[in-house]
Amino acid sequence: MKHVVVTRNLVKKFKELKAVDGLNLKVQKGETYGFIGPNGSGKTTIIKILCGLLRATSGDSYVLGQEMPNPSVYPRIGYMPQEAALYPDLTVNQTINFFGELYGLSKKEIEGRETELLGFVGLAPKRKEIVSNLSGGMKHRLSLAVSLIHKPELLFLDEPTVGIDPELRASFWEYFGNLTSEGVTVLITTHYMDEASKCDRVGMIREGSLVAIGTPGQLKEETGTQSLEDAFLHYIRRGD
Amino acid sequence: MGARAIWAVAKNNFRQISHDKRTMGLIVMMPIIFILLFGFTFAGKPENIRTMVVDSDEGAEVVTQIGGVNYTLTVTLSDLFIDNLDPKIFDIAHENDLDVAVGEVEDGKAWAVLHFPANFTQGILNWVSMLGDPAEFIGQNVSFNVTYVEDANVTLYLDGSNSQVAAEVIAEVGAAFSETIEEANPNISFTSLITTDFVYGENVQFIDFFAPGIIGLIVTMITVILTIVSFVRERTNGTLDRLFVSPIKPSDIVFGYTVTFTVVALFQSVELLVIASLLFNITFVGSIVLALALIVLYAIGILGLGILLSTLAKNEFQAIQFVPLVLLPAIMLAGILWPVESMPEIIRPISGAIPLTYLASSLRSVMIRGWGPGEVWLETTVLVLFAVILLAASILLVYKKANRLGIKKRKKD
Repeated sequence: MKHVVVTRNLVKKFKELKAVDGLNLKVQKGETYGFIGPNGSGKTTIIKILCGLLRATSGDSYVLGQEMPNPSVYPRIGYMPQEAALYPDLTVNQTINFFGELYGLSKKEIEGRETELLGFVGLAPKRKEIVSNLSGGMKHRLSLAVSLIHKPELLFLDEPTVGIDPELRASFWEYFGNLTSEGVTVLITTHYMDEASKCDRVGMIREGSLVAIGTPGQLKEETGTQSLEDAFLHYIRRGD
Repeated sequence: MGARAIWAVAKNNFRQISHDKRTMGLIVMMPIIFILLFGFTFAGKPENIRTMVVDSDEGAEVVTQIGGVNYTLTVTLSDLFIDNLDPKIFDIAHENDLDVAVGEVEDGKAWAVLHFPANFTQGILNWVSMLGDPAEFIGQNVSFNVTYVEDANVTLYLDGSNSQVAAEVIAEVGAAFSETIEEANPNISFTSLITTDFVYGENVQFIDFFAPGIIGLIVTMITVILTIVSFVRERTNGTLDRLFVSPIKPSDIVFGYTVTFTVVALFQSVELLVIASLLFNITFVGSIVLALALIVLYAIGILGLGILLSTLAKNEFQAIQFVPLVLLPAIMLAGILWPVESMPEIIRPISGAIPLTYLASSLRSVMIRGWGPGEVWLETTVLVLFAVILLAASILLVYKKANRLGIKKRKKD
């Protein structure tokens, strides 16, 4: 199986509003696939459909070979929502523990993952801290750690680097690189063009459908632009 | 997964509560505040009722024979009557002018006027001579003239605007009257006419009647508040989405919550029973295990209701507005403070549709009558149905929210 995520003519309507409009998507195993698009272009809705949190109005979506929504893929995928999505009254290590238990990890496995992940996101000194006392950036880091707890083979990250300082952002991307080299697929939405240029492939989204797909190099070449940002603006404005 | 996932959710809830001092305080303090408020405000009858006495009784002459000599005594029964009025309940003021006394009631300065007419004693003498042998009267062998008199009635002028006070005054004046007659003439006994034999609940106070209802009320309140708010918070936080994208089954989420709030409900019930026993010495003759089992059943049903209601609310602010909606009918119609029998007939079916009615009535039977499962089976069955239906509905709803319904059906297409 080459494609871990496939959608065919995916449509999602919220009453009159078409949030996703005939999306055809193919994400290959082991690649970093970035969704870029303006606010309200439907990125989050697509992620939620792929995670089974929303049902498409029409069309099909397949994740790891299963038609979504399907709970059998949940042990194999990781999801990091846009908002931090944590329990404010738990401590950092209790948070890790709880989600570890949800995925059926043993106590020992959880301990190992906790050390590894808190070390990676730089929260090891804060492990006894109550989540509501953490800064916004720290909450985001913990949220990422939580979505990685069970070593998923497919990661859905909805704007994971918002509110995170450049240094940590760089280390996140380094980590994503390590993950993909181990065969993990990362599907990410972002606003930052410098991040998009680090993706293996980029899908530009406008009004719920893909207007361009390709490697960052291909997109620049096709539009004859110097930067991905210019390429992005080129595609976004073309439809007006 | 199963048990481990359920316990993970329950443990998670306990940890959150333990880090949230206000919620902890609410859970611990609510039973104490409730039992103190209800215990002290509802336990007593009205006392110190300001009452004017206008005593115009001129008494009557009776003849007694001591050592062969006839003595003539003047007996005034109104004095005896007034002495028999319970001094705790009546705050008596004497007044000679009836109009002035009634004026006090009209001005709201007193609740009642008790007026003894001039012929009062004579009227009573006439009456008792018909009822029994007057040979022994006020501890003496007497004889008296039976002369018919008019207008010998005691008149009670009453401010009936407070029905509880009015009922109390009428009952107490009646009691004092019977006592007076019995003391005056031992051959007459009113109490022997009606014999009361308590089948259940001798020495039961009003607090015994409402303590079971208060337990139900607290369990309703805290369970509804905590479930609605925690579920809405799970959703607005985004943690519910995280749970939905994890392998945990939606039913295990609901069961985890059930474990948490059942423990909370049990803790509060035991706390309340202990305080009520220590402070108010409430009656508890039945099985505590049965009582707690009934409470658990009820708490599970209420938890299901809370989860169902939480999906109607967009945020915590809206969620909290559902609480009075659940609580008010429960307080008014479940027979907690006044019996269902005292409600108008049209309203009684609504009482029958409120689960707290069944918890309050079965708990009362267990605590005061000492009934066992065999006697409270009807209420128990209703509570079981209530718990099963609401819990099943809430599980179904969470499955639906997690997009886990209709998956198999779609595969066949």
